[in-house]
Amino acid sequence: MKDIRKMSKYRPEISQREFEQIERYLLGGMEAAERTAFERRLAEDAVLRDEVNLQNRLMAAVEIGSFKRGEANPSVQEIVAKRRSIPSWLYAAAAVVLAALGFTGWWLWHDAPMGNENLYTAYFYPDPGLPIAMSSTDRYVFYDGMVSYKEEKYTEAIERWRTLPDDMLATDTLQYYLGMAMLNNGDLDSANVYLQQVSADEQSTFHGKALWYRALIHVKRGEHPQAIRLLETLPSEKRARDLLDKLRQ
Amino acid sequence: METSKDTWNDNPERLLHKAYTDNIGWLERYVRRNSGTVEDAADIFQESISVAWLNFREGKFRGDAQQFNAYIRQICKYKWINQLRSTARKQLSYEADLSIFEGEAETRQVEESIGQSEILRASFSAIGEKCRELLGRFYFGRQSLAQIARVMNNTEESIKTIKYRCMMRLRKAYLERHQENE
Repeated sequence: MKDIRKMSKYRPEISQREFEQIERYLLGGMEAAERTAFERRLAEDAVLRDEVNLQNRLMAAVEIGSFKRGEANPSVQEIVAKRRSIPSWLYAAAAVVLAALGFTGWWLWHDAPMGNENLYTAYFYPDPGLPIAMSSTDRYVFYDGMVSYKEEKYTEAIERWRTLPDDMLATDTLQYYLGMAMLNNGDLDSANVYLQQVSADEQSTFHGKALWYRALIHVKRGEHPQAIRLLETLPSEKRARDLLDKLRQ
Repeated sequence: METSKDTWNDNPERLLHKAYTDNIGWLERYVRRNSGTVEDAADIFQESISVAWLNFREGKFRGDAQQFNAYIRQICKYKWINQLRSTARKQLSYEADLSIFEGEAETRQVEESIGQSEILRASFSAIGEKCRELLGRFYFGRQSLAQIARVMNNTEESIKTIKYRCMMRLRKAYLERHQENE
């Protein structure tokens, strides 16, 4: 391994403070006064200038590296087809792990009875969305909506997806994510309609997830018997068993 | 897409996928017409978009979205013709003329960018999956620290520090490779 200090115009490392200042500059996060002062320093300080250019290049490396990683993902149709061929409980198991790792995990060990809103908040974990590359206009629109979804701009995601042709809107993938976007927007009634359609399809890989979120909608509304009935259909999910215990207390 | 700085605040994930959807169909047709396969087109696109994006971010390319698409296509053609020349397929016919760029200087700049983008790609691959995920979420997906903290089961403050360390790891990996190639 070469010794960077002997061979480079760059310092071996920069402080977190300096790094964050450069990052703020590159990402447009500086106020006008700070930017002006920083640009004055840039004009005079060649070392700082080199470092800004280097960070700029590294950020581009992350963007393009992440895009390449995303590129390996299949198209919507391939995802739907592939997911149908994988047991849905495999996804459910992954969701359990995700939930177990989540911030809300500690609630699972909390014995005190909770209100409906608290239970919902404790167990609700927004689906992070699909990383998909698209190659046609429709796929692009779907992907574009998914980017908005991941940015938590749920209304924008819904608007984009609704421009897709009916046959795409009818897929369980779209139905599920439209439902989730509505749920994240707090529109429980509309979300429930979409999730109901997905949960009715036992072949759908979103079947278990749709049941889980429908159960949470019932919890939020205080409809515990309905929530319990749905959760009882998810016996292999730890989070479902835990929530059932809470509801039965 | 006027200048690099103007678009740093745009979502790179969205911009890159737009570039992909705008150009991949054209490239597949071009490569297939010129002795290649769809798989060849996919490889060429990955390499070419890296070069174009790097030059865009560094301000070496300036122009609007339409010009950016044209620029990507130039690089794609350049790379494909080079690949044909260097393989057994070189005796096969291809339709493009070989003077893709205006003058030697521009060709040399693209060649340098191809080398840089390969070093950057190798550096990013070397920093570990956790770092790649975190940095990708922040710089590529433009997720907030709060969002990342929630997904990665950590505090915002920790994520901020880990992000810094990951970027330093990437910086070190890049500088080592860069110097080896100088």
